[in-house]
Amino acid sequence: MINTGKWKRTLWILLFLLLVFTPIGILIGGTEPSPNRNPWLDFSVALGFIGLALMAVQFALTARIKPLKEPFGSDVIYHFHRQVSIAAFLFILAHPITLFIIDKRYLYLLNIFQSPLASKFGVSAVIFLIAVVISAEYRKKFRIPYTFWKIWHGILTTLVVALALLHVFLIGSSRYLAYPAVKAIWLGYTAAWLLLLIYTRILYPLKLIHNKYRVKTVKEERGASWTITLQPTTKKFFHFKPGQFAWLTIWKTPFSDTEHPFSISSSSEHPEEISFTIKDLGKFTSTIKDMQPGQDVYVDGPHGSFTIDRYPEAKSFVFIAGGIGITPIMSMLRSMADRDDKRPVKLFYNNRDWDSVTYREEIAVLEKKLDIQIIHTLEKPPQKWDGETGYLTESILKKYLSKSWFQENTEIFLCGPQVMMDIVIKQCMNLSFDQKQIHYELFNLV
Amino acid sequence: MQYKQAKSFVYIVSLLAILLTLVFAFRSLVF
Repeated sequence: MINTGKWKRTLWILLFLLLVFTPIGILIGGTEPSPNRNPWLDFSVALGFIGLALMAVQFALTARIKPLKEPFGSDVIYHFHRQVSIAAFLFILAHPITLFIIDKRYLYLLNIFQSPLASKFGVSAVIFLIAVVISAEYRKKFRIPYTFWKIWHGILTTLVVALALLHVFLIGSSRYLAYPAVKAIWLGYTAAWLLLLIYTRILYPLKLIHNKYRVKTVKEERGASWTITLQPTTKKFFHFKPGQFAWLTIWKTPFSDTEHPFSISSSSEHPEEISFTIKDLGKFTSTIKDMQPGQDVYVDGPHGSFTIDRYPEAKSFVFIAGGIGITPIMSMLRSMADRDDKRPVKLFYNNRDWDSVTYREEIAVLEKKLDIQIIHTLEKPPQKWDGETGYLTESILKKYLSKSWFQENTEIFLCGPQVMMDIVIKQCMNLSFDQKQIHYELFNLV
Repeated sequence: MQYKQAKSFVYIVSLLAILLTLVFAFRSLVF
């Protein structure tokens, strides 16, 4: 069987390399060196070009292009976006620093009140880029609200690329952009970047507005959580794979760029309506309980590769959930029940106390429909509790997973707080599970 | 694991990029 996922990943990686290295390749192969020019000056220029090419690619990485995200998983793409952004930042920063090292007289360019227009653009781009990187890396430390940060992240990064391109076209026209091939490639990048902006900022929000959803019900769950059930306003059903997530825009329009990611908790066998269970954890999530039936919601999705459907060969599943991390797993369990899927399942579900076990009653009902064993672990168990207590440990996993579970065709799905996931992944690997069998998706992206 | 792979990939791309910038800067010596 051909592994299409692997092929898709390879093609995307090749495209990434092509986009990043084409400008420098054209510079190497298509331009003549000046005999009197300091080679380190060219080194500085090339650092800037590489940095800008890396920056421009970021817009494609975050544009929610489904064929791009599917083979890797959304969280991996965002992680990659973060890593590439840091690399782009360092390349761009190294561009002026190299200039200043070559000749201190270049330092006058920092005075944007007296420097040429091209330098004004370049310096401004770097200042905005520093603001982008610091605000993204330290958003939580500086307690910058997510929505506020997200809007400004979009505005500032757009400004950075726009100013950097203006800098390139103004300063380069007398030198490297005088070469038609170099000029053509940067004009191409600019056009592609503008098209991507139009798509993500105008066309995509319009599409979401056209395909909007309405709240059918709002229901309180255990564990300070609320389930909202949505129905499409068009005849288009929301087809998804169990375990996937969607970005929801509530209270505002998709043009506001104020969406939040949430796991779908309903069964994929009922695409005529979708449910999300959202825990009251902050400013935005505390407003979920105030939602009313009939209210408009804009749904961007489905996204993500955290799904049992990617592993049709699996013989059995181990689900490990911490608190509200149960939501994507609930979608998988509900879908399995609807599909009459009798493959063996072990569910390890860690919670603080018995009263805050979200879906407690429904999980007990699912026990009768599925070939499942449910292992609740409680940090603060009630009196007369004869189940497992404390956090999920390696010995608890070992106790319930007999030898037959340690086989190639057992797939493990893990969702919960970051600290718990880090520990449980290690525990699973200690228990001789292969890392390829362990699947997780992180939402703690920024 | 894919996170580590992504990070390693970015390191390799960055190193290759530095190498190519040096090739470009000193292309009169290289070619």
